Amino acid sequence: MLFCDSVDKAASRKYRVRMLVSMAIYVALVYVSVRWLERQPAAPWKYLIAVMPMLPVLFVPVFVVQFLHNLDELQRRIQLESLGFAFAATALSSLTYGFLENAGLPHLNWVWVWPVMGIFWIIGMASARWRYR
Amino acid sequence: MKNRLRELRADRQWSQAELAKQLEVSRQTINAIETEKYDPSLPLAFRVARLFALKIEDVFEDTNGVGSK
Repeated sequence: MLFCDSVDKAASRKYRVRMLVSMAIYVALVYVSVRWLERQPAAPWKYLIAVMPMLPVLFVPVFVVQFLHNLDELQRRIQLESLGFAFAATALSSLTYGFLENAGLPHLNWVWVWPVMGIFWIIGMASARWRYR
Repeated sequence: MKNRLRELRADRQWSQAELAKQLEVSRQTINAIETEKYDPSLPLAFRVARLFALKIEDVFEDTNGVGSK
């Protein structure tokens, strides 16, 4: 969403600040969580420590929806088309790799799903922006 | 959909960015409407017509819709 021309500049700035703050705390907590887990804490604490980095990004979906509300109608259509493309392309690639795992390819961590979706989103957005240029 | 937006904007010597600001949309939206790659929503089409003090059908021409001439 950082590549979008938002009409409401104040709302756009608020969104960027919220996202940057959330991500900065997230990165710091990933470091704390990983180091803490090396000390092998007992259950159930280890589960709470493992998901601790997700706390500051809990409201990111709400921020994203608010940002979409502040876009103008063409920008919203561009986002719909790019997110739709990313959704379908991620489903296709994750299922394909899942089947390839059945054939013996190494098991991949779930955390790879988001970067893959992000890349497809950027590709979809570049393509949609090109169509409406 | 055909429209006279570029012509009307040129008459007033407004840039795409100036028109976009008045209509509270992005410059890309104005460009996409002018190049007929995007048809605006009815509320936006009404805002455009009102800004130029024209009727909606004096700005936009429905060339292939149901019931069009």
